[in-house]
Amino acid sequence: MDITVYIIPILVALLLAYSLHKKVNAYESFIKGAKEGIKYSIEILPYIASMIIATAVFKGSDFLNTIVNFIDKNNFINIDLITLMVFKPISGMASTATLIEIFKKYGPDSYIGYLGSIISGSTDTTLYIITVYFGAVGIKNVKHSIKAGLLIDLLSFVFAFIAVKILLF
Amino acid sequence: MINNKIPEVNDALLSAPGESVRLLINLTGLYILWSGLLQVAKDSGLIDAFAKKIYRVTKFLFPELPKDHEVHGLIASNMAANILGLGSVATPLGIKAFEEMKKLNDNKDTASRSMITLILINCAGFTLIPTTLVSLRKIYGSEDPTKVLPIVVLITFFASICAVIIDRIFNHFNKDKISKK
Repeated sequence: MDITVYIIPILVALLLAYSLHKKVNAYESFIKGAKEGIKYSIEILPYIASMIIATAVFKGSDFLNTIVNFIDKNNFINIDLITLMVFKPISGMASTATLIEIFKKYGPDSYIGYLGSIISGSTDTTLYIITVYFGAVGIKNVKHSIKAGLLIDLLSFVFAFIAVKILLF
Repeated sequence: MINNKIPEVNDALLSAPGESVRLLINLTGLYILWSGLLQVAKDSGLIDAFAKKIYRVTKFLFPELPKDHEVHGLIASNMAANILGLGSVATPLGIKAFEEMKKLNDNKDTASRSMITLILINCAGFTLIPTTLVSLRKIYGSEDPTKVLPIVVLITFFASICAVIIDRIFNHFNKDKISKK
């Protein structure tokens, strides 16, 4: 059994036990917080929708394949890894789908499979996080967060390549 | 148009909006759960207690935030959720922290320094348990699904250090720009 299955139930049980100990009306607090949860999700809907639509069109048009094939006629770069690296910062769903394609095509224990695993595990959905966090509280000017966030992703990709080369193959 | 994918693009345009609403319905459920539980944690004083414990770390990362403010507890909870691989828990916590930061920020339209720091730490994604990754590897027949674990932990740890350094560098240059004006 996976230990991760226990984390959430244990955390929730501890929290409720603590609130009982502190004599807080947990139900009223929960309702109050839940109302805010709904507020957030309505705030972020337009941002999420526009992002998902753009990602779907981009994916459907196969634009990425066309560009990579145009630049790289000898298939030097692995197109599936490029797809993963492009989609990972944008959408968790799209990048998970790509990782599954990689696992099916090459197997999770191949060089590409390991690289894909580590790339997808080591970075987060940068643009999605920026969209949701800033969108939820209504901030328009995000300053250098996109630039800096993508730079960190790029660094993680480089670390992933180095780690797989040195530690696994 | 370049590669005759118009039917696919049409499909994407027509189905993606519905898909985004479906995703949001799932997210709303999770936000209700976690925002509700977060409020319970706040009202029972847990977040404040956590804020005091973690203050040394968050003060170093977020020097502009006032002492003894509950935002430290929210930031710390967001980071803890990410470290445990609980992405859906981390998001409402992060948004809540952002709301407090916005209250503390004079300019309501523009990202504050602390907001960007929190975003970058989230992007580096320091984690100890990449849950989804391990289960996907298991499903698709890996002989050793957890073999990637130590590497992911190592990389995200280094990336987090880089994130803090990059954050400081950007802040340094931004400060120069403002003072020149």
